[in-house]
Amino acid sequence: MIERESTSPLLPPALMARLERMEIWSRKVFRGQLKGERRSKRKGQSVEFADFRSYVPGDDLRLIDWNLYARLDQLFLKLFQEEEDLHLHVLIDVSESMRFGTPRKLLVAKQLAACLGYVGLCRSDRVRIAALGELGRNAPVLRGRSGLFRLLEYLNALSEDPGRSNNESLSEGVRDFLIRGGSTGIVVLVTDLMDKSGYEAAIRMLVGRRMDVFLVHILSPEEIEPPIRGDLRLVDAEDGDVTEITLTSYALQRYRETVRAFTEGARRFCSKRGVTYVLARSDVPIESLVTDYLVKRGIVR
Amino acid sequence: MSLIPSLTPWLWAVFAAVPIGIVCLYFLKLRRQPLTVPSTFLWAKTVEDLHVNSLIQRLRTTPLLLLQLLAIALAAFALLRPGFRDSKNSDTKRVFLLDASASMGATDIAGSTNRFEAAKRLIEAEIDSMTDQDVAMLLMFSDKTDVLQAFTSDRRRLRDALATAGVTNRSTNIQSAMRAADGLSTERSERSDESAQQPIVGTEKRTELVVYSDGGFAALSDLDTSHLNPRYVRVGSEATSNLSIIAFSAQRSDVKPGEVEAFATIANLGTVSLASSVSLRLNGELIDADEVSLENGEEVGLAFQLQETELVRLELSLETADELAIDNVAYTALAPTRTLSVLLVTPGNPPLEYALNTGQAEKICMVEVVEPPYLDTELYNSRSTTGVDQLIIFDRCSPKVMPSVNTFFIGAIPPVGWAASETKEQILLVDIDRLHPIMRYLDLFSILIAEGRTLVPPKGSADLLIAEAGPVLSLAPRDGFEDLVLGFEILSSTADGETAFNTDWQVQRSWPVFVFNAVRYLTGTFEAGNRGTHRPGTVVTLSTDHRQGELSIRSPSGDVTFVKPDPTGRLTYAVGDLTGTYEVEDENKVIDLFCVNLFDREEATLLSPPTVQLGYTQVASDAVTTTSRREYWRWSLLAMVGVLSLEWWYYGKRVGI
Repeated sequence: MIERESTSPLLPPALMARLERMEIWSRKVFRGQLKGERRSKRKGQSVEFADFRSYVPGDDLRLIDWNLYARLDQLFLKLFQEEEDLHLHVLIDVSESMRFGTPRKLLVAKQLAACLGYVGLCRSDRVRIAALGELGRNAPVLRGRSGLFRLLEYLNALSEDPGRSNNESLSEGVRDFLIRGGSTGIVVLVTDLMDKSGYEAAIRMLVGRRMDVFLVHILSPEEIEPPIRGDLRLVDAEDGDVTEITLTSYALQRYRETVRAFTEGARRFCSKRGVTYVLARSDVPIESLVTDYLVKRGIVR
Repeated sequence: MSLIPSLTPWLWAVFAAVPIGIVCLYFLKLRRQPLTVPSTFLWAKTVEDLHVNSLIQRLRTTPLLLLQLLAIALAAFALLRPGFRDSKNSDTKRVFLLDASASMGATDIAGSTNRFEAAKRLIEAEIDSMTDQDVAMLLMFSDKTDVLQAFTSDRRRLRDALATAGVTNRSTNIQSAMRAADGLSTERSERSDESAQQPIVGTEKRTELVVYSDGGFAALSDLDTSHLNPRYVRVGSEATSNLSIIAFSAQRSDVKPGEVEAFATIANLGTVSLASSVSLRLNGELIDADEVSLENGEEVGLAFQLQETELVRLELSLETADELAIDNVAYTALAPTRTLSVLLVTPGNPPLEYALNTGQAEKICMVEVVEPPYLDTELYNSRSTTGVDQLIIFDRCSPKVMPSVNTFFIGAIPPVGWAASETKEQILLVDIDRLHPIMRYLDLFSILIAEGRTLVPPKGSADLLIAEAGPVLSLAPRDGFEDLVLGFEILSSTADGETAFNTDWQVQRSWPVFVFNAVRYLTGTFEAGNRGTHRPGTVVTLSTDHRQGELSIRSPSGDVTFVKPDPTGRLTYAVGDLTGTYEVEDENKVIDLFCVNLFDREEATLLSPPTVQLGYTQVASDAVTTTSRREYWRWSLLAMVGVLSLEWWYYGKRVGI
């Protein structure tokens, strides 16, 4: 497919202004590590009332609601909501298949990761942008706007040029991420799902760790509508597998049906497991992708 | 089911290369352009022949190849001509008798060039239905019978023999054909019966004789065909249209010198009335035309008059498109008149000399008169053997050796082969052979003859004039020549040397006519006018002045044949099937002409009777002329077309055309 040097920066300045007003929206409430801006499962010391409970010896006397004691002659503790930070993980599939398309799918994935990461940083969330596989092991954990530079640095280090990846399978990459201490929180998995061993295992693993999982499925226009015809020997970029095909309108029709069935299958699989599935074409501008697609799907607001 | 392979082994080998080629082409498919894609993951689900790397896997996923191979197999099956043989033909020995006479050239059979081709097709179907045990013989007959193929079970040889057969322009002689068929088939039977002396009744199968004819022949009733099983396959129809020239001749006018008269007879021998224009061409140029309109069965005579030329080659043609073309053109010709040399050996005979010098006689001959002593000279000897003269008249004398020309003896007899009675007085004539050309127009009963001798001619002679005691004028053949002998003198010598008339014939009107007739007959000029016409396929005998060297005969097609005349100047020539005017040339100078025409009313009558008499039995025509072998190669081909269409549809579905 046509290769073109990408010139678009990861974070257009105009977009940054809009991103600052957004926040990552989690459908679940997680426990954070530090004080933050997100409501936590933990009861804490914010100003927002949460609940009452009976006093048990050992409780902090400062939390006793004396007004109730006066009225009822019983000791109750007044609990308040705790606000903690949110853990945002953006996992980028950097397999060889992601380095195709115009613009390259990996570039779009990086842009998306930068945008989400920036939103998270602005909201003081714990942000970890990581490539799947080996490259993800040294991914930085960021907090606060000051982390933007490191974030971009890390992302820029992920080359979009073909032939630079180790082609780890999706499930292997996710497993590696989880083993290395993927704390619960929001996981945005940006991938093209082109894995012959199947994507299901990877998503199952994430769901099993009670993550709030978002799946951004990136497909290039060349994959959805291949601009090729004739007698071809298709070589798989990842494993060198060869497929001989006489591409005719009928074969293309079959292919389009296959693509549709594939995305539908992924969508169904995700919705059954409470995973938000977003299909993104790589030729859609990042602005509209973030401000339109992702807002509609409820990833950001 | 039986199979008749249509190809030779060599061609089968070529055919076998086709499926091999298809398989090879499939595996050596076009080189595909390599293209790197992110993943073949989705393509794999699209392409059904993914990961094909073994033969079985390839074949399993290649309905196109299988369909193509199936189509080829069906084509091969069709080429094997599968078929079932009908049980109705149980005779295993058959004689096909194919009529090739001129009438078989009629074009009244729809779907065929002519009757002959239709008959050939019917025989071909019969041959196809033969099994390996059947034997058949193929005879073709017109005026003669040809054995195209003797008894054989080899269908290919029969077919090849049949392919060589062509229609002729000849008449029909079924009798000789039947005899030939009869003889050839019984000969074989007898030979096979030699070991068993007594033929076993009922086991020897009768030979089936299948006659493919239009029935245009006379009933054949005096032939025993009991051991043949005759079958008549009628090739022809009962409604025909044919206008035919059945006679055409020309002659130089006796009345008006320099004019030629031509006569033609045209008959409508078909079943419908026809009209046509008639054109007459002289040496290729149209000189006269006429119109005829004839009801069926009618005939009309036409006469034409034209100026004489050196060579008269006439062609009469009917401008009609009837069903038989060969009888629409007729030819006749007049050869150039020859100047003949006549040697008269006489002691003096003024009446004879006068008769030889009449205006009519002068036109045809030049007379040289010599005395009898001339016979002893060397000059005469060479003259009599080389044939300088066309006729030598010996008046009251005879040579020692008969010359190599026709002779006319008056009052003397030839030295060899002839005898005569004693001289008798008062000869009274009693009979004349009026039909003989020499005696034409003669009235001789009133003549008086003083004395004469009756003749004892050699065998084979014709007595032209018979007196009470015996013949006095006879014509006898001699080694290709003819001798005319008159038993009495015209002018006699008396004992005292005086001459006296022996008869009063010379003062009668019949005398110069007789002399003229005799000279015309003996010099060969009798037929010099119209050479007559010959049927195709006959042998023509011509007399010429040439005794040495070769003459060429140019046929109407322009082919030249060189013929050497015999010492008497006669030549024989077998004419082929071609009608037209044949020219006899001597060093590019036309010296004689003759014509070949059909002129056969029987052949020109195209009406085809439903029954014919073959031997003692009346045989009705075979209504069933279809082949008795049911062939299925057409269905096989149809199935092949169906498979090809399916293959094309499948291909189109895959390629999305």
